[in-house]
Amino acid sequence: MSGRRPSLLVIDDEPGMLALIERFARQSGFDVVVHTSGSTAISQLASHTADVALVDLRMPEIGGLDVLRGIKEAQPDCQVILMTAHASVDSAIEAVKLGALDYLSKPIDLNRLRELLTGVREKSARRAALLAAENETAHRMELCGLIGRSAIMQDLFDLVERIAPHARTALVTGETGSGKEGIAHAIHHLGPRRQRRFLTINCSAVVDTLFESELFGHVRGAFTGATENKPGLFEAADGGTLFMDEVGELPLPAQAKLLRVLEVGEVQRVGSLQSKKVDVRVVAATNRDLQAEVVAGRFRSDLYYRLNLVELRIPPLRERPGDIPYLTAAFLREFAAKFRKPIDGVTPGVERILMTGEWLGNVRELRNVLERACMLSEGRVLNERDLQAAMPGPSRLSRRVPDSTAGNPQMPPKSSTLADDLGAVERQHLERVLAEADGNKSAAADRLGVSRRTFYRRLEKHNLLKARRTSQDRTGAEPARSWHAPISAADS
Amino acid sequence: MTAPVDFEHAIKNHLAIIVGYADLLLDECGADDQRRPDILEMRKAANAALALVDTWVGSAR
Repeated sequence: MSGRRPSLLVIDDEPGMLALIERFARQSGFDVVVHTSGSTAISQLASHTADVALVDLRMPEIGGLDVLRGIKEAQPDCQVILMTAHASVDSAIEAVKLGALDYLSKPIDLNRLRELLTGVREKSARRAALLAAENETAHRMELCGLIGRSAIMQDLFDLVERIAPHARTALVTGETGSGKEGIAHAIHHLGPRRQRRFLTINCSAVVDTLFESELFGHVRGAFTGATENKPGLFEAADGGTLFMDEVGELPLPAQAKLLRVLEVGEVQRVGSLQSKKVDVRVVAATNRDLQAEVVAGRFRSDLYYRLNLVELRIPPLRERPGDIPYLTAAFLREFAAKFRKPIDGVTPGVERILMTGEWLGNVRELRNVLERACMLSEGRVLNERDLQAAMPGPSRLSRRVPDSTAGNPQMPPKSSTLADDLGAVERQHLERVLAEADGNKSAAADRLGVSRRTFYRRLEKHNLLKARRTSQDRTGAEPARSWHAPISAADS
Repeated sequence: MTAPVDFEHAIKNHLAIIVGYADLLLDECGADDQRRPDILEMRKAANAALALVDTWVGSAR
Protein backbone atom coordinates (compact mmCIF):
# COMPACT_ATOMS: atom_id res chain seq x y z
CA MET A 1 0.00 0.00 0.00
CA SER A 2 1.37 3.41 -0.91
CA GLY A 3 1.67 6.26 1.60
CA ARG A 4 0.19 8.75 -0.82
CA ARG A 5 -3.07 10.38 0.30
CA PRO A 6 -5.78 10.25 -2.33
CA SER A 7 -6.47 13.55 -4.01
CA LEU A 8 -9.80 15.38 -4.33
CA LEU A 9 -10.46 18.23 -6.72
CA VAL A 10 -13.41 20.49 -5.81
CA ILE A 11 -14.85 22.94 -8.31
CA ASP A 12 -17.66 25.31 -7.24
CA ASP A 13 -18.17 29.01 -7.85
CA GLU A 14 -19.31 29.44 -4.24
CA PRO A 15 -16.25 29.83 -1.92
CA GLY A 16 -18.30 28.91 1.16
CA MET A 17 -19.15 25.56 -0.38
CA LEU A 18 -15.48 24.97 -1.30
CA ALA A 19 -14.38 25.67 2.27
CA LEU A 20 -17.03 23.34 3.69
CA ILE A 21 -16.12 20.43 1.42
CA GLU A 22 -12.39 21.00 1.81
CA ARG A 23 -12.70 20.79 5.59
CA PHE A 24 -14.85 17.67 5.41
CA ALA A 25 -12.63 15.89 2.85
CA ARG A 26 -9.40 16.59 4.73
CA GLN A 27 -10.95 14.94 7.76
CA SER A 28 -11.70 11.94 5.51
CA GLY A 29 -8.03 11.62 4.60
CA PHE A 30 -7.91 13.43 1.26
CA ASP A 31 -5.53 15.99 -0.15
CA VAL A 32 -7.82 18.72 -1.47
CA VAL A 33 -7.39 21.20 -4.31
CA VAL A 34 -10.18 23.76 -4.82
CA HIS A 35 -11.11 25.95 -7.78
CA THR A 36 -13.88 28.53 -8.21
CA SER A 37 -13.68 28.26 -11.99
CA GLY A 38 -14.04 25.17 -14.20
CA SER A 39 -11.71 26.46 -16.91
CA THR A 40 -8.86 27.10 -14.43
CA ALA A 41 -9.37 23.64 -13.00
CA ILE A 42 -9.24 21.99 -16.44
CA SER A 43 -6.17 23.97 -17.47
CA GLN A 44 -4.34 22.67 -14.41
CA LEU A 45 -5.35 19.04 -14.86
CA ALA A 46 -2.17 18.35 -16.81
CA SER A 47 -0.01 19.07 -13.77
CA HIS A 48 -2.29 17.72 -11.09
CA THR A 49 -3.60 14.19 -10.89
CA ALA A 50 -6.83 13.74 -8.97
CA ASP A 51 -8.43 10.49 -7.83
CA VAL A 52 -11.85 12.10 -7.54
CA ALA A 53 -13.44 15.43 -8.42
CA LEU A 54 -16.53 17.07 -6.93
CA VAL A 55 -17.99 19.47 -9.46
CA ASP A 56 -20.86 21.93 -9.18
CA LEU A 57 -23.27 21.51 -12.06
CA ARG A 58 -24.24 25.15 -12.40
CA MET A 59 -21.40 27.62 -12.68
CA PRO A 60 -21.37 30.94 -14.54
CA GLU A 61 -18.39 30.51 -16.88
CA ILE A 62 -18.34 26.86 -17.82
CA GLY A 63 -20.95 24.33 -16.74
CA GLY A 64 -20.36 21.22 -14.65
CA LEU A 65 -21.11 18.83 -17.52
CA ASP A 66 -18.40 20.46 -19.66
CA VAL A 67 -15.99 20.27 -16.75
CA LEU A 68 -16.90 16.58 -16.39
CA ARG A 69 -16.10 16.04 -20.08
CA GLY A 70 -12.80 17.90 -19.70
CA ILE A 71 -11.76 15.85 -16.69
CA LYS A 72 -12.68 12.54 -18.32
CA GLU A 73 -10.66 13.51 -21.37
CA ALA A 74 -7.59 14.58 -19.43
CA GLN A 75 -7.75 11.94 -16.70
CA PRO A 76 -10.06 9.06 -17.58
CA ASP A 77 -9.33 7.34 -14.27
CA CYS A 78 -10.52 10.30 -12.20
CA GLN A 79 -13.96 9.71 -10.69
CA VAL A 80 -16.30 12.66 -10.97
CA ILE A 81 -19.18 13.44 -8.62
CA LEU A 82 -21.55 16.21 -9.66
CA MET A 83 -23.48 18.32 -7.17
CA THR A 84 -26.25 20.82 -7.64
CA ALA A 85 -28.62 23.02 -5.73
CA HIS A 86 -31.08 22.71 -8.58
CA ALA A 87 -31.39 19.01 -9.32
CA SER A 88 -33.17 17.83 -12.45
CA VAL A 89 -33.69 14.36 -13.86
CA ASP A 90 -32.31 15.38 -17.25
CA SER A 91 -29.02 16.71 -15.96
CA ALA A 92 -28.65 13.68 -13.66
CA ILE A 93 -29.09 11.27 -16.58
CA GLU A 94 -26.71 13.29 -18.74
CA ALA A 95 -24.10 13.28 -15.97
CA VAL A 96 -24.27 9.51 -15.53
CA LYS A 97 -24.10 9.00 -19.29
CA LEU A 98 -20.91 11.06 -19.36
CA GLY A 99 -19.40 8.77 -16.76
CA ALA A 100 -20.11 10.58 -13.49
CA LEU A 101 -19.79 8.39 -10.41
CA ASP A 102 -22.76 10.01 -8.68
CA TYR A 103 -24.98 13.07 -8.59
CA LEU A 104 -25.60 14.78 -5.26
CA SER A 105 -28.13 17.48 -4.49
CA LYS A 106 -27.36 20.33 -2.11
CA PRO A 107 -27.45 20.47 0.84
CA ILE A 108 -25.06 17.62 0.48
CA ASP A 109 -25.72 14.52 2.54
CA LEU A 110 -22.31 14.30 4.20
CA ASN A 111 -22.78 10.63 5.06
CA ARG A 112 -23.35 9.81 1.40
CA LEU A 113 -20.31 11.89 0.41
CA ARG A 114 -18.23 10.08 3.04
CA GLU A 115 -19.28 6.72 1.56
CA LEU A 116 -18.32 7.82 -1.94
CA LEU A 117 -14.95 9.17 -0.84
CA THR A 118 -14.21 6.01 1.14
CA GLY A 119 -14.97 3.93 -1.96
CA VAL A 120 -12.60 6.01 -4.07
CA ARG A 121 -9.88 5.88 -1.42
CA GLU A 122 -10.07 2.09 -1.21
CA LYS A 123 -9.96 1.77 -4.96
CA SER A 124 -6.95 4.05 -5.17
CA ALA A 125 -5.17 2.01 -2.47
CA ARG A 126 -5.95 -1.21 -4.34
CA ARG A 127 -4.56 0.26 -7.54
CA ALA A 128 -1.40 1.38 -5.75
CA ALA A 129 -0.96 -2.11 -4.30
CA LEU A 130 -1.51 -3.64 -7.73
CA LEU A 131 1.02 -1.30 -9.28
CA ALA A 132 3.56 -2.18 -6.62
CA ALA A 133 2.92 -5.87 -7.32
CA GLU A 134 3.39 -5.27 -11.04
CA ASN A 135 6.68 -3.51 -10.41
CA GLU A 136 7.72 -6.43 -8.29
CA THR A 137 6.82 -8.80 -11.13
CA ALA A 138 8.67 -6.63 -13.62
CA HIS A 139 11.68 -6.76 -11.35
CA ARG A 140 11.49 -10.53 -11.16
CA MET A 141 11.20 -10.70 -14.96
CA GLU A 142 14.69 -9.35 -15.28
CA LEU A 143 17.96 -10.87 -14.26
CA CYS A 144 21.03 -8.73 -14.83
CA GLY A 145 19.44 -7.21 -17.93
CA LEU A 146 18.05 -10.51 -19.24
CA ILE A 147 14.34 -10.43 -19.86
CA GLY A 148 12.10 -13.45 -19.46
CA ARG A 149 8.55 -13.50 -18.27
CA SER A 150 7.82 -17.01 -19.49
CA ALA A 151 7.82 -19.85 -16.95
CA ILE A 152 10.71 -21.51 -18.77
CA MET A 153 12.91 -18.40 -18.37
CA GLN A 154 11.77 -17.84 -14.79
CA ASP A 155 12.95 -21.37 -13.99
CA LEU A 156 16.27 -20.62 -15.66
CA PHE A 157 16.66 -17.36 -13.66
CA ASP A 158 15.87 -19.25 -10.47
CA LEU A 159 18.52 -21.81 -11.28
CA VAL A 160 21.09 -19.12 -12.10
CA GLU A 161 20.38 -17.37 -8.80
CA ARG A 162 20.69 -20.60 -6.87
CA ILE A 163 23.94 -21.83 -8.47
CA ALA A 164 25.68 -18.43 -8.83
CA PRO A 165 27.04 -18.32 -5.26
CA HIS A 166 28.43 -21.86 -5.42
CA ALA A 167 29.21 -23.34 -8.83
CA ARG A 168 32.87 -23.52 -9.85
CA THR A 169 32.03 -24.49 -13.41
CA ALA A 170 28.88 -24.17 -15.46
CA LEU A 171 27.88 -25.05 -18.98
CA VAL A 172 25.49 -22.76 -20.80
CA THR A 173 23.84 -24.25 -23.85
CA GLY A 174 21.57 -22.58 -26.34
CA GLU A 175 21.21 -21.62 -29.96
CA THR A 176 23.12 -18.74 -31.43
CA GLY A 177 21.85 -15.37 -30.23
CA SER A 178 19.88 -16.82 -27.33
CA GLY A 179 21.88 -14.95 -24.68
CA LYS A 180 24.55 -17.35 -23.40
CA GLU A 181 27.00 -14.58 -22.59
CA GLY A 182 24.24 -12.72 -20.73
CA ILE A 183 23.68 -15.75 -18.52
CA ALA A 184 27.44 -16.04 -17.94
CA HIS A 185 27.50 -12.38 -16.84
CA ALA A 186 24.54 -13.03 -14.53
CA ILE A 187 26.36 -15.97 -12.92
CA HIS A 188 29.39 -13.74 -12.40
CA HIS A 189 27.46 -10.77 -11.01
CA LEU A 190 25.29 -12.81 -8.68
CA GLY A 191 28.24 -14.75 -7.30
CA PRO A 192 30.94 -13.87 -4.76
CA ARG A 193 33.36 -12.85 -7.52
CA ARG A 194 31.37 -9.90 -8.82
CA GLN A 195 34.15 -7.45 -7.87
CA ARG A 196 36.75 -9.45 -9.76
CA ARG A 197 37.45 -9.73 -13.48
CA PHE A 198 35.17 -11.30 -16.05
CA LEU A 199 37.16 -12.34 -19.10
CA THR A 200 35.89 -13.81 -22.33
CA ILE A 201 37.49 -16.04 -24.91
CA ASN A 202 35.70 -17.07 -28.07
CA CYS A 203 37.15 -20.48 -28.78
CA SER A 204 36.13 -20.37 -32.43
CA ALA A 205 38.16 -17.23 -33.02
CA VAL A 206 41.53 -18.54 -31.83
CA VAL A 207 44.02 -20.27 -34.11
CA ASP A 208 44.48 -23.90 -32.98
CA THR A 209 48.20 -23.52 -32.33
CA LEU A 210 47.71 -20.48 -30.11
CA PHE A 211 45.05 -21.90 -27.79
CA GLU A 212 47.37 -23.10 -25.12
CA SER A 213 49.36 -19.90 -25.10
CA GLU A 214 46.14 -17.82 -24.92
CA LEU A 215 44.66 -19.84 -22.09
CA PHE A 216 47.70 -20.72 -20.04
CA GLY A 217 50.36 -18.24 -21.15
CA HIS A 218 53.93 -18.94 -22.25
CA VAL A 219 57.48 -18.26 -21.21
CA ARG A 220 60.10 -16.51 -23.29
CA GLY A 221 61.54 -18.79 -25.95
CA ALA A 222 58.79 -21.38 -25.65
CA PHE A 223 58.19 -21.13 -29.39
CA THR A 224 59.22 -18.94 -32.28
CA GLY A 225 57.90 -15.47 -31.63
CA ALA A 226 57.59 -15.93 -27.86
CA THR A 227 59.92 -13.06 -27.12
CA GLU A 228 58.79 -12.52 -23.56
CA ASN A 229 56.88 -14.13 -20.72
CA LYS A 230 53.14 -13.77 -21.05
CA PRO A 231 50.42 -14.77 -18.63
CA GLY A 232 47.42 -16.61 -20.08
CA LEU A 233 43.75 -15.83 -19.57
CA PHE A 234 43.53 -18.16 -16.58
CA GLU A 235 46.17 -16.20 -14.72
CA ALA A 236 44.59 -12.90 -15.78
CA ALA A 237 41.19 -14.05 -14.56
CA ASP A 238 42.55 -15.37 -11.25
CA GLY A 239 39.93 -14.82 -8.58
CA GLY A 240 37.32 -14.01 -11.21
CA THR A 241 35.40 -15.67 -14.01
CA LEU A 242 36.51 -16.88 -17.42
CA PHE A 243 33.75 -17.18 -20.00
CA MET A 244 34.70 -19.67 -22.72
CA ASP A 245 32.31 -19.18 -25.60
CA GLU A 246 31.91 -21.91 -28.21
CA VAL A 247 33.86 -24.34 -26.05
CA GLY A 248 32.95 -27.11 -28.50
CA GLU A 249 35.55 -25.63 -30.87
CA LEU A 250 38.39 -26.23 -28.43
CA PRO A 251 41.03 -28.58 -29.96
CA LEU A 252 41.59 -31.88 -28.12
CA PRO A 253 45.07 -31.08 -26.70
CA ALA A 254 43.76 -27.84 -25.18
CA GLN A 255 40.77 -29.76 -23.78
CA ALA A 256 43.14 -32.03 -21.83
CA LYS A 257 44.95 -29.06 -20.34
CA LEU A 258 41.69 -27.28 -19.52
CA LEU A 259 40.48 -30.37 -17.67
CA ARG A 260 43.65 -30.35 -15.60
CA VAL A 261 43.17 -26.71 -14.67
CA LEU A 262 39.59 -27.37 -13.65
CA GLU A 263 40.50 -30.43 -11.60
CA VAL A 264 43.66 -29.30 -9.78
CA GLY A 265 43.43 -25.52 -10.15
CA GLU A 266 46.92 -25.20 -11.59
CA VAL A 267 48.19 -23.78 -14.86
CA GLN A 268 51.49 -24.33 -16.55
CA ARG A 269 52.68 -21.73 -19.01
CA VAL A 270 53.78 -23.16 -22.34
CA GLY A 271 57.47 -23.92 -22.11
CA SER A 272 57.56 -23.80 -18.32
CA LEU A 273 57.85 -26.67 -15.89
CA GLN A 274 56.45 -24.68 -13.02
CA SER A 275 52.80 -24.85 -12.09
CA LYS A 276 50.91 -21.90 -10.78
CA LYS A 277 47.78 -22.02 -8.63
CA VAL A 278 44.79 -20.23 -10.08
CA ASP A 279 41.29 -19.83 -8.77
CA VAL A 280 39.03 -19.25 -11.74
CA ARG A 281 35.37 -19.93 -12.24
CA VAL A 282 34.80 -21.26 -15.73
CA VAL A 283 31.53 -20.68 -17.49
CA ALA A 284 31.57 -22.51 -20.81
CA ALA A 285 29.02 -22.06 -23.54
CA THR A 286 28.17 -23.89 -26.70
CA ASN A 287 25.52 -24.00 -29.37
CA ARG A 288 26.62 -27.49 -30.34
CA ASP A 289 25.27 -30.72 -28.93
CA LEU A 290 28.31 -31.54 -26.80
CA GLN A 291 27.07 -35.01 -26.03
CA ALA A 292 27.04 -35.78 -29.76
CA GLU A 293 30.52 -34.27 -30.01
CA VAL A 294 31.63 -36.64 -27.26
CA VAL A 295 30.14 -39.61 -29.12
CA ALA A 296 31.86 -38.46 -32.30
CA GLY A 297 35.17 -38.32 -30.43
CA ARG A 298 35.62 -34.59 -30.90
CA PHE A 299 35.09 -33.63 -27.28
CA ARG A 300 36.58 -35.31 -24.22
CA SER A 301 33.89 -37.01 -22.19
CA ASP A 302 35.68 -36.31 -18.87
CA LEU A 303 35.79 -32.59 -19.70
CA TYR A 304 32.16 -32.68 -20.76
CA TYR A 305 31.07 -34.23 -17.47
CA ARG A 306 33.25 -31.80 -15.56
CA LEU A 307 31.68 -28.81 -17.32
CA ASN A 308 28.09 -29.93 -17.22
CA LEU A 309 27.95 -30.42 -13.45
CA VAL A 310 25.62 -27.49 -13.82
CA GLU A 311 23.98 -27.15 -17.21
CA LEU A 312 21.92 -24.10 -18.01
CA ARG A 313 19.89 -24.50 -21.18
CA ILE A 314 18.57 -21.30 -22.69
CA PRO A 315 15.43 -21.98 -24.71
CA PRO A 316 15.28 -20.55 -28.23
CA LEU A 317 13.03 -17.52 -28.67
CA ARG A 318 10.43 -19.55 -30.59
CA GLU A 319 9.84 -21.62 -27.44
CA ARG A 320 8.92 -18.48 -25.49
CA PRO A 321 6.99 -16.19 -27.84
CA GLY A 322 5.26 -14.67 -24.80
CA ASP A 323 8.53 -12.87 -23.99
CA ILE A 324 8.67 -11.16 -27.38
CA PRO A 325 6.46 -8.16 -26.42
CA TYR A 326 8.58 -7.52 -23.30
CA LEU A 327 11.84 -7.86 -25.21
CA THR A 328 10.42 -5.61 -27.91
CA ALA A 329 9.45 -2.97 -25.36
CA ALA A 330 12.88 -3.08 -23.74
CA PHE A 331 14.71 -2.84 -27.08
CA LEU A 332 12.44 0.01 -28.24
CA ARG A 333 13.25 1.95 -25.07
CA GLU A 334 16.94 1.31 -25.58
CA PHE A 335 17.05 2.31 -29.25
CA ALA A 336 14.61 5.22 -28.95
CA ALA A 337 17.03 6.67 -26.39
CA LYS A 338 20.08 5.77 -28.45
CA PHE A 339 18.78 7.38 -31.64
CA ARG A 340 16.95 10.18 -29.76
CA LYS A 341 13.62 9.30 -31.34
CA PRO A 342 10.18 9.54 -29.74
CA ILE A 343 9.30 5.89 -30.56
CA ASP A 344 7.12 4.41 -27.84
CA GLY A 345 5.32 1.47 -29.40
CA VAL A 346 4.62 -0.75 -32.39
CA THR A 347 1.51 -1.19 -34.54
CA PRO A 348 -0.58 -4.34 -34.00
CA GLY A 349 0.63 -5.54 -37.42
CA VAL A 350 4.26 -5.26 -36.33
CA GLU A 351 3.47 -7.04 -33.09
CA ARG A 352 1.88 -9.90 -35.04
CA ILE A 353 4.86 -10.19 -37.37
CA LEU A 354 7.29 -10.18 -34.45
CA MET A 355 5.24 -12.76 -32.56
CA THR A 356 5.03 -15.18 -35.49
CA GLY A 357 8.60 -14.81 -36.72
CA GLU A 358 10.83 -17.86 -36.62
CA TRP A 359 13.81 -15.96 -35.13
CA LEU A 360 16.53 -18.46 -35.97
CA GLY A 361 18.97 -15.87 -34.67
CA ASN A 362 16.94 -15.62 -31.45
CA VAL A 363 17.06 -12.56 -29.18
CA ARG A 364 20.10 -11.15 -30.97
CA GLU A 365 18.24 -11.22 -34.29
CA LEU A 366 15.15 -9.59 -32.75
CA ARG A 367 17.37 -6.93 -31.24
CA ASN A 368 19.20 -6.26 -34.50
CA VAL A 369 15.97 -6.04 -36.50
CA LEU A 370 14.47 -3.60 -33.98
CA GLU A 371 17.64 -1.55 -33.90
CA ARG A 372 17.54 -1.12 -37.68
CA ALA A 373 13.79 -0.46 -37.63
CA CYS A 374 14.20 2.22 -34.94
CA MET A 375 16.99 3.80 -36.94
CA LEU A 376 14.73 3.98 -40.01
CA SER A 377 11.48 4.91 -38.28
CA GLU A 378 10.24 8.47 -38.42
CA GLY A 379 7.11 8.21 -36.30
CA ARG A 380 6.17 7.61 -32.70
CA VAL A 381 5.05 4.10 -33.49
CA LEU A 382 7.07 1.51 -35.36
CA ASN A 383 5.04 0.37 -38.39
CA GLU A 384 5.19 -2.55 -40.82
CA ARG A 385 7.12 -0.51 -43.37
CA ASP A 386 9.87 0.30 -40.87
CA LEU A 387 10.06 -3.36 -39.94
CA GLN A 388 10.10 -4.67 -43.52
CA ALA A 389 12.89 -2.25 -44.36
CA ALA A 390 14.84 -3.52 -41.35
CA MET A 391 14.54 -7.17 -42.33
CA PRO A 392 17.66 -8.60 -43.93
CA GLY A 393 16.49 -10.13 -47.23
CA PRO A 394 12.98 -10.53 -48.60
CA SER A 395 11.57 -12.79 -45.91
CA ARG A 396 14.32 -13.61 -43.50
CA LEU A 397 11.87 -14.53 -40.78
CA SER A 398 10.00 -16.96 -42.97
CA ARG A 399 12.29 -19.86 -42.42
CA ARG A 400 9.63 -22.07 -41.01
CA VAL A 401 11.27 -25.20 -42.35
CA PRO A 402 12.20 -28.50 -40.76
CA ASP A 403 15.64 -28.85 -39.18
CA SER A 404 16.96 -31.08 -41.94
CA THR A 405 16.83 -28.13 -44.29
CA ALA A 406 17.62 -25.45 -41.78
CA GLY A 407 19.64 -22.61 -43.17
CA ASN A 408 18.20 -22.81 -46.66
CA PRO A 409 14.43 -22.78 -47.02
CA GLN A 410 14.64 -23.51 -50.72
CA MET A 411 16.41 -26.81 -50.31
CA PRO A 412 14.50 -30.07 -50.00
CA PRO A 413 15.36 -32.60 -47.28
CA LYS A 414 18.86 -34.05 -47.55
CA SER A 415 17.76 -37.65 -47.66
CA SER A 416 15.67 -37.30 -50.83
CA THR A 417 16.77 -38.41 -54.31
CA LEU A 418 17.67 -36.01 -57.09
CA ALA A 419 14.34 -36.62 -58.83
CA ASP A 420 12.50 -35.89 -55.58
CA ASP A 421 14.55 -32.78 -55.10
CA LEU A 422 13.84 -31.42 -58.55
CA GLY A 423 10.17 -32.30 -58.24
CA ALA A 424 9.92 -30.50 -54.91
CA VAL A 425 11.69 -27.45 -56.24
CA GLU A 426 9.42 -27.42 -59.29
CA ARG A 427 6.34 -27.68 -57.14
CA GLN A 428 7.53 -24.88 -54.92
CA HIS A 429 8.23 -22.68 -57.89
CA LEU A 430 4.80 -23.36 -59.41
CA GLU A 431 3.17 -22.50 -56.09
CA ARG A 432 4.99 -19.26 -55.81
CA VAL A 433 4.33 -18.11 -59.36
CA LEU A 434 0.67 -19.04 -59.00
CA ALA A 435 0.42 -17.10 -55.76
CA GLU A 436 2.13 -14.08 -57.28
CA ALA A 437 -0.37 -14.17 -60.15
CA ASP A 438 -3.21 -14.22 -57.59
CA GLY A 439 -4.19 -17.69 -58.75
CA ASN A 440 -4.63 -16.63 -62.38
CA LYS A 441 -3.26 -19.63 -64.30
CA SER A 442 -2.97 -17.90 -67.68
CA ALA A 443 -0.94 -15.12 -66.13
CA ALA A 444 1.20 -17.61 -64.23
CA ALA A 445 1.79 -19.63 -67.45
CA ASP A 446 2.78 -16.42 -69.29
CA ARG A 447 5.18 -15.51 -66.56
CA LEU A 448 6.81 -18.95 -66.78
CA GLY A 449 6.95 -18.76 -70.58
CA VAL A 450 4.97 -21.98 -71.10
CA SER A 451 1.62 -22.66 -72.71
CA ARG A 452 -1.46 -22.77 -70.57
CA ARG A 453 -1.83 -26.44 -71.40
CA THR A 454 1.71 -27.26 -70.26
CA PHE A 455 1.14 -25.28 -67.11
CA TYR A 456 -2.04 -27.24 -66.34
CA ARG A 457 -0.19 -30.51 -66.89
CA ARG A 458 2.44 -29.45 -64.43
CA LEU A 459 -0.14 -28.39 -61.88
CA GLU A 460 -1.88 -31.72 -62.27
CA LYS A 461 1.37 -33.61 -61.82
CA HIS A 462 1.90 -31.90 -58.47
CA ASN A 463 -1.74 -32.13 -57.38
CA LEU A 464 -1.88 -28.36 -57.39
CA LEU A 465 -5.14 -28.07 -59.28
CA LYS A 466 -7.08 -29.00 -56.17
CA ALA A 467 -4.76 -27.30 -53.79
CA ARG A 468 -4.91 -23.99 -55.61
CA ARG A 469 -7.64 -22.45 -53.49
CA THR A 470 -5.90 -23.27 -50.29
CA SER A 471 -2.71 -21.84 -51.57
CA GLN A 472 -4.50 -18.69 -52.68
CA ASP A 473 -6.13 -18.31 -49.31
CA ARG A 474 -2.85 -18.76 -47.57
CA THR A 475 -1.08 -16.09 -49.49
CA GLY A 476 -3.91 -13.64 -49.78
CA ALA A 477 -5.86 -13.68 -46.56
CA GLU A 478 -3.51 -12.34 -43.98
CA PRO A 479 -0.54 -10.06 -44.55
CA ALA A 480 1.46 -11.60 -41.70
CA ARG A 481 1.47 -14.90 -43.53
CA SER A 482 3.79 -13.48 -46.11
CA TRP A 483 6.52 -13.80 -43.54
CA HIS A 484 6.26 -17.57 -43.65
CA ALA A 485 7.25 -19.74 -46.57
CA PRO A 486 3.79 -20.38 -48.08
CA ILE A 487 4.42 -24.07 -48.69
CA SER A 488 7.78 -25.63 -48.22
CA ALA A 489 9.02 -28.73 -49.98
CA ALA A 490 8.57 -30.73 -46.83
CA ASP A 491 4.85 -29.94 -46.73
CA SER A 492 4.25 -31.72 -50.01
CA MET B 1 -37.13 33.81 -16.85
CA THR B 2 -33.58 33.04 -15.71
CA ALA B 3 -33.61 35.51 -12.81
CA PRO B 4 -35.79 33.40 -10.45
CA VAL B 5 -33.73 30.28 -11.32
CA ASP B 6 -30.51 32.13 -10.56
CA PHE B 7 -32.01 33.38 -7.32
CA GLU B 8 -33.18 29.91 -6.36
CA HIS B 9 -29.75 28.49 -7.10
CA ALA B 10 -27.94 31.18 -5.14
CA ILE B 11 -30.17 31.09 -2.06
CA LYS B 12 -30.16 27.29 -1.95
CA ASN B 13 -26.37 27.29 -2.18
CA HIS B 14 -26.12 29.64 0.82
CA LEU B 15 -28.61 27.60 2.81
CA ALA B 16 -26.74 24.40 1.84
CA ILE B 17 -23.56 25.89 3.26
CA ILE B 18 -25.33 26.60 6.56
CA VAL B 19 -26.75 23.06 6.68
CA GLY B 20 -23.36 21.63 5.72
CA TYR B 21 -21.46 23.45 8.46
CA ALA B 22 -24.16 22.53 10.95
CA ASP B 23 -23.69 18.87 9.98
CA LEU B 24 -19.92 19.20 10.33
CA LEU B 25 -20.27 20.74 13.80
CA LEU B 26 -22.74 18.04 14.85
CA ASP B 27 -20.22 15.43 13.68
CA GLU B 28 -17.45 17.05 15.65
CA CYS B 29 -19.22 17.69 18.97
CA GLY B 30 -20.03 14.85 21.32
CA ALA B 31 -23.54 13.58 22.06
CA ASP B 32 -23.73 15.51 25.36
CA ASP B 33 -22.16 18.72 24.04
CA GLN B 34 -24.16 21.72 25.30
CA ARG B 35 -23.99 23.46 21.91
CA ARG B 36 -25.69 20.58 20.17
CA PRO B 37 -29.31 21.84 20.59
CA ASP B 38 -28.27 25.28 19.23
CA ILE B 39 -26.65 23.78 16.16
CA LEU B 40 -29.74 21.62 15.61
CA GLU B 41 -31.89 24.80 15.73
CA MET B 42 -29.73 26.48 13.07
CA ARG B 43 -29.92 23.43 10.87
CA LYS B 44 -33.67 23.12 11.33
CA ALA B 45 -34.19 26.77 10.33
CA ALA B 46 -31.99 26.47 7.26
CA ASN B 47 -33.82 23.33 6.15
CA ALA B 48 -37.16 25.11 6.68
CA ALA B 49 -35.90 27.99 4.51
CA LEU B 50 -34.90 25.49 1.81
CA ALA B 51 -38.41 23.99 1.91
CA LEU B 52 -39.86 27.51 1.59
CA VAL B 53 -37.73 28.18 -1.48
CA ASP B 54 -38.97 24.92 -3.06
CA THR B 55 -42.60 25.85 -2.31
CA TRP B 56 -42.10 29.34 -3.70
CA VAL B 57 -40.36 28.05 -6.86
CA GLY B 58 -43.10 25.44 -7.31
CA SER B 59 -45.89 28.02 -7.08
CA ALA B 60 -43.99 30.44 -9.37
CA ARG B 61 -43.88 27.79 -12.12
